[in-house]
Amino acid sequence: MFSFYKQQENKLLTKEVLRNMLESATNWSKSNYFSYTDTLITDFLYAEDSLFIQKSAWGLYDVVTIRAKYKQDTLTQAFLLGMETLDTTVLYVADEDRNLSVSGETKIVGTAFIPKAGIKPTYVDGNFFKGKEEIVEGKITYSERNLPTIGEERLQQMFNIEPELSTGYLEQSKFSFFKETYYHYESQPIYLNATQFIGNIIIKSDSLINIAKDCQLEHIICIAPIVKIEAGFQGNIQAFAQDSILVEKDCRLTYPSSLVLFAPSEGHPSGIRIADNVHIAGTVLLYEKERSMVPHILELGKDIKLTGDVIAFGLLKYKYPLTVNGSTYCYRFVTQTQTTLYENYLIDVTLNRKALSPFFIKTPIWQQQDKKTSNSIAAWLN
Amino acid sequence: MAKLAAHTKLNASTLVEVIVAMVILLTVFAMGMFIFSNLFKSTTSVRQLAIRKQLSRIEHDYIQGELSEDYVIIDSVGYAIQRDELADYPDCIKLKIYAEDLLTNKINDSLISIQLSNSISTNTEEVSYE
Repeated sequence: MFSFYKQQENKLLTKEVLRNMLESATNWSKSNYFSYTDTLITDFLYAEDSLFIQKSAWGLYDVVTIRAKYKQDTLTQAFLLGMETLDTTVLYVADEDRNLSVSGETKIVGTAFIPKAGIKPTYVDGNFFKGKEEIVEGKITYSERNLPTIGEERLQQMFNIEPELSTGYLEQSKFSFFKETYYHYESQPIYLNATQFIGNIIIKSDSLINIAKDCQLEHIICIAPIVKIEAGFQGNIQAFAQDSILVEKDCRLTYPSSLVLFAPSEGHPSGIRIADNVHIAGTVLLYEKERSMVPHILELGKDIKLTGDVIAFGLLKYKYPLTVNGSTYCYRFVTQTQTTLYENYLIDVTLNRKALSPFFIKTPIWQQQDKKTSNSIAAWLN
Repeated sequence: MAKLAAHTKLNASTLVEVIVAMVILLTVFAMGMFIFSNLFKSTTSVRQLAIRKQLSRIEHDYIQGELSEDYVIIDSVGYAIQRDELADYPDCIKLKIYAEDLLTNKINDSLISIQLSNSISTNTEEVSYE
């Protein structure tokens, strides 16, 4: 009985040591100087311990896996790493020498970067601006001609993935982040119907990926020229496209989801189209390396609720009412009533930075000049 | 006087067998005592458990910014806090807390961890350990 008690006590002590190692390794992996590499260390904190940390990019976020070993026991941990939201930016409209107009029940809460031409209330279809006199409930600063710079390497890396053509049918549904990433690549369109994929899997097609309503997807990455998400889908994915992304109505993309369109510099205009009544928690990014003559369009339907970042290196076309709890970046807003097309008009738009939870972790997509940002855990993966 | 019949057998051990059996029994008992006393010695004492708990508490208070000193004495145990910068990771520190028994001048236990520099608070509303 005594030796049993002693055994249990040793187990508890070992577990405590392992937890301390995991916590230290987690803190260490959050460091801005911790590179994308596999790190194996022995005698990390105590004699006879060993630690294996793998950090790599997973879409717009980073994935970290930690294996801590002490004597005969091992504990593991995996998580998605992102950036803590420290700024208060709610709106960034590039300066194209056009002013910004607000009408209806528009609300802007946070720091707004607006063109030097300023922001003013106006009438649209007989409705005047009904908000506060100062229009922006927060600081107003003038924006630059271009949007802030994005770390392009992360996006390039996604589209440079070239796995081998898959021959078999996908039978497995759960893919651990402690093993190699599973790639499923087909040159033909891929139709995901009534499938469940969770974890460390990248699905790539040379033409189209169509995600049906009855799919259960979590933390996976889809890469194709066109990505289409059917009406009613609920899940958590990171979609990367180069031609178009179409999200049909009533979809719910849970945190941390990403919709990324990396548009080619010239050629036919690309775009992201999000239909009515879609809720997205994460990042919507329409990016182009250089400004093209025909701007690309991020099109938002009615009654859309976006939580996180909406970034359009192009036009942001919306139907009102629109709610964005987080930050919105674009060159120009466009909206259309039955009779008129309005540019740089915000009509019944709620842009609220304060409504974004302080625990919401953003993607580290912005190019950091200094390494003073804080990283934090966006999601646990095991 | 009764006489034993010549062919009567008695079931008994010889002296040598008894002595050998005694030696074996004594050896087994001695081994058992040895193991028992070792178990007692190697068990974590209440004092050690208290020190371990105190180390965690000091680490927590240091990170919360509630501890400004580098050396604290609690119940005849001195706790020394050492903060080392990590050369390749300027935003991380290695926090070492040693518990030294003031009676024996020996290091009783230690707690080592890695913390992010910006997670260590600087609002020092000092905590009392008395």
